[in-house]
Amino acid sequence: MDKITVDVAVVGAGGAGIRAAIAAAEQSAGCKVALLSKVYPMRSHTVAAEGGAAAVWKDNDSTDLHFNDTVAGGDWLCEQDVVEYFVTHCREEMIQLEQWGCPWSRTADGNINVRNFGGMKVPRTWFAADKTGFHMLHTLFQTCLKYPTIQRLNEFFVLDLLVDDGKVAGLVAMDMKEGELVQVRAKAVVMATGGAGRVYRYNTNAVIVTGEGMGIAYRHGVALRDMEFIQYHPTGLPGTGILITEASRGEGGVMLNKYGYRYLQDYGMGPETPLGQPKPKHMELGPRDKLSQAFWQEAKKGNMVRTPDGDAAMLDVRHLGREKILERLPFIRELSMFYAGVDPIERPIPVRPTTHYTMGGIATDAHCETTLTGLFAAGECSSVGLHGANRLGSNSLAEIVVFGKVAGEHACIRAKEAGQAREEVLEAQARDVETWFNALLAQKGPEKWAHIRDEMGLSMEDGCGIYREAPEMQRTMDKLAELKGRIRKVGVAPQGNVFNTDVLSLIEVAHGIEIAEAMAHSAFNRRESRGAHQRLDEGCKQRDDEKFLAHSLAYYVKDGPPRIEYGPVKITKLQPAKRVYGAEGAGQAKEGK
Amino acid sequence: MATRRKPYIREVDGCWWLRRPFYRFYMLRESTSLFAVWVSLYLLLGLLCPSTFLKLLNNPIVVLLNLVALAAAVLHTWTWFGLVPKALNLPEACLGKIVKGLWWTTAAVSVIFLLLAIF
Amino acid sequence: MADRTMTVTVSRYDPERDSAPYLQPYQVPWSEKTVLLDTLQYIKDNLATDLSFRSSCRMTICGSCGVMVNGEPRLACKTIMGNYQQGMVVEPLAFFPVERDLVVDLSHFMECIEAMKPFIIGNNRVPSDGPNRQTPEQIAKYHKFAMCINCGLCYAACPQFGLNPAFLGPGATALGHRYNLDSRDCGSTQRLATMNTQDGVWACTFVGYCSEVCPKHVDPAAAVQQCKAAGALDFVASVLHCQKKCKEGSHGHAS
Repeated sequence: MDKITVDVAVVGAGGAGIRAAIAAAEQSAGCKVALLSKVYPMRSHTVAAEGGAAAVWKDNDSTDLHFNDTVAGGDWLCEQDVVEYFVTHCREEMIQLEQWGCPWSRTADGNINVRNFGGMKVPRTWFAADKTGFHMLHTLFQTCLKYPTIQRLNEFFVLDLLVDDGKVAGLVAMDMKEGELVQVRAKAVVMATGGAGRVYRYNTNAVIVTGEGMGIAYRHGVALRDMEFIQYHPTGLPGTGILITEASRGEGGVMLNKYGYRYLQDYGMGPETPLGQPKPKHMELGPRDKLSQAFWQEAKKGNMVRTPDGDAAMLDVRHLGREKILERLPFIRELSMFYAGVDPIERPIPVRPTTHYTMGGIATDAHCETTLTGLFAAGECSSVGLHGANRLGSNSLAEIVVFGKVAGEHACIRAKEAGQAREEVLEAQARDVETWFNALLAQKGPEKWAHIRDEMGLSMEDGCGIYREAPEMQRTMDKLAELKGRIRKVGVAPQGNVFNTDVLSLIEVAHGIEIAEAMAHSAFNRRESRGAHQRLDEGCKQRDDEKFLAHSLAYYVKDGPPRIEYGPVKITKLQPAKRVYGAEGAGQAKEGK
Repeated sequence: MATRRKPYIREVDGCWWLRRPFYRFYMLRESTSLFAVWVSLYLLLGLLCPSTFLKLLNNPIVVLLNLVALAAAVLHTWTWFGLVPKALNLPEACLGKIVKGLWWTTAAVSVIFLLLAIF
Repeated sequence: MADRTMTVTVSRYDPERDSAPYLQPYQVPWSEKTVLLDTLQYIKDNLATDLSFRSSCRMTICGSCGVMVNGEPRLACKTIMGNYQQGMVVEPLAFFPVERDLVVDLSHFMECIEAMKPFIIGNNRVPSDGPNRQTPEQIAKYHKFAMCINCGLCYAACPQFGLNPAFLGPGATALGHRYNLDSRDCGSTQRLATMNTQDGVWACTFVGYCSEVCPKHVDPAAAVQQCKAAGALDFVASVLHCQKKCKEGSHGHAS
């Protein structure tokens, strides 16, 4: 097996991964970095983010306000010291991106322009029309070409970590083009592999968002934290789940039911704001969890528009006018016209909630390091404690650069301190990975990974959707246990190793089932309703700070369901309070002053 | 490095341009240069030997060649005006006006030359 | 997917088993909304799990899924099956070496992107200085060329790339040009040195098909022509020793 030796290996080359690689390279001139990705960096899912990235910018804004919005938005399940670090470093990172060439949208005089976003009290979302993630990712990718110490390993699929004496010492990956396994020896590894939205059937995610990074860390005994909190984005296209950005509401778009009524006013987000005058934290600018829950309730009343792909609300942006739509939302127009056959200049866009974001992930400390020494995580695959029970739109694009940098810097420091791992131990582990992989290649059986993937996705929609109940969750847990058995009977077609995406898909689905199990069991055990985790069964409908102001921690158990434990939440300056929006929220804010 | 690769390279043959309408039109556009060569040579003849030049003008083959050369020149002008603005990084809104301006200028110059030739 | 079916013919090639690519027909269901990427996934899920193709975002922004559809370079996620009821042949992107099935070797394209030094050069601002000032008009100068998704369709449309695999090509040139036009950048001399060569922009004969097939309307053909003009001017200027100096102080503070 070929060997590549570096100081830091970064797994995943989306926004967080590339930012980590650059930070490590800048931290020390002698720090050799390998940036591995199962796809070319610009195919990473960061590319699909549309709306924008949060950072305090306007004179009437402050880091305190951003802090309060984030902690309340997360229903108090955020690590408040982490949030504090985050809100004070977003601005610097946004400016850094600007100086690296990111084409942020500007005001007429050449200053940075910011827009409104859901759950944010002041406009603080930096944007590049409605392709913010695309521009951020390409800027980061192109900038990383400047660093000769960053070795990019494109289309390398990471299979497992190498660990000696409780310390990370590298990894084994499949070089997809060569069709050969490769060891990458590294003294620190940063996981930046993105979320796991693909364990659901209907989602806004790219097909690559399958969560192996989480799965690999999990199998090595690192906890997956707060996995029950899955964000449903309120505006995906029915059927495909393709994302229609929250910026369409930030710019003034409104949500209508089949009677043309702005139903959000009936769900604690009112009073109705005048058309074309969006008001922060009111109506359409409420947080994503509340909007998706309102959709569910309204659909249950039969007030939604029936489409061949299920119930849909109508997102109306027509009143913004042609010019503004073409300037601020050109991609949204392109997507609606092509994938929904609707020109938003002329007709409202049919939308429905679809799975969008994994709030939880690999548990890390404030320096992005996990309990496994030398293993770091950043971005959506991680749970550094920023998002709590619900993420605010535009906080994740900021997160990937702020914490990507933290992870890269600390990984570089850790690599410098690390001693030499035992060669024979690593070689033996690499051989084990090879044996396991070869067994998978030769695996015979009647099952298909595609069918298992689909059954898992539908079962997760049923049991771990916008609203949850114990019996449904139990059925999902049973189903996942069944699929775990059946995945061992999936047949892999005889074929060459070069770009063998058959066996790699099987590995993706196998990780997916384990991550889904962590989600379902964490959800089942959290007997309360908080943020994106809402239950309908008796005794669980309210937030219960007494018992559940705590992070859930799912631990891998071989051949069994995960073990669920709880850990404390760090609260510094914002004590838990009722989480309210609309008029009630405005009243609470006034009282607070 | 160990490898199992065996990339397959598809050779490009001489007929590549026959396979897509866009390529065929490109070759037609480029072939208009042959007629430009013909006209240049013929004009050169006019300079060196004016009497032969005038005598040949009425030859049906020369008439035909000149007519085809005129059509080729018009086609080339049309494609040229479509492509030239691309070499200038101008706002989309200006492009249409520039192409129109180019056509009017060409028309005006042609008419002036025609008038000069007649009178 | 729905009840109607059609035949899709897909080019298959396993380098460890086949000596050359061959065509394999598949019977697939389709409906009004089915795009080719759905169909390829359907084939992989149900008919041939060993079929390999690249895909990621499925919404025309990641640039993974470029293929030839009846000889035309297209994104699979932007190709509606209903438009091809008379038949469809899907092949790997033209002119690139084929690694397997619909997967081509993009390494030349990536090397060209690197050669373009697509990052801000010669601007010493740091975050504590605040952002550069850049007006919407200055952004408009380069914005179109910043929309490239690196899908490679323009290379598969370019016969010059087919005839000369060392050609810098349309996509990479457009990217280099994007930075040359950026008011925050001072690196155009370095990039023009790479562009202004035999295998650089001068290998282009302005076929123009690259711009025709570009799914993001980047117009790489225009970028190449503009670079030819800039390269020629730069050459003349270098002969006359009057190359324009990039002004360090020209990136006004904007707070």
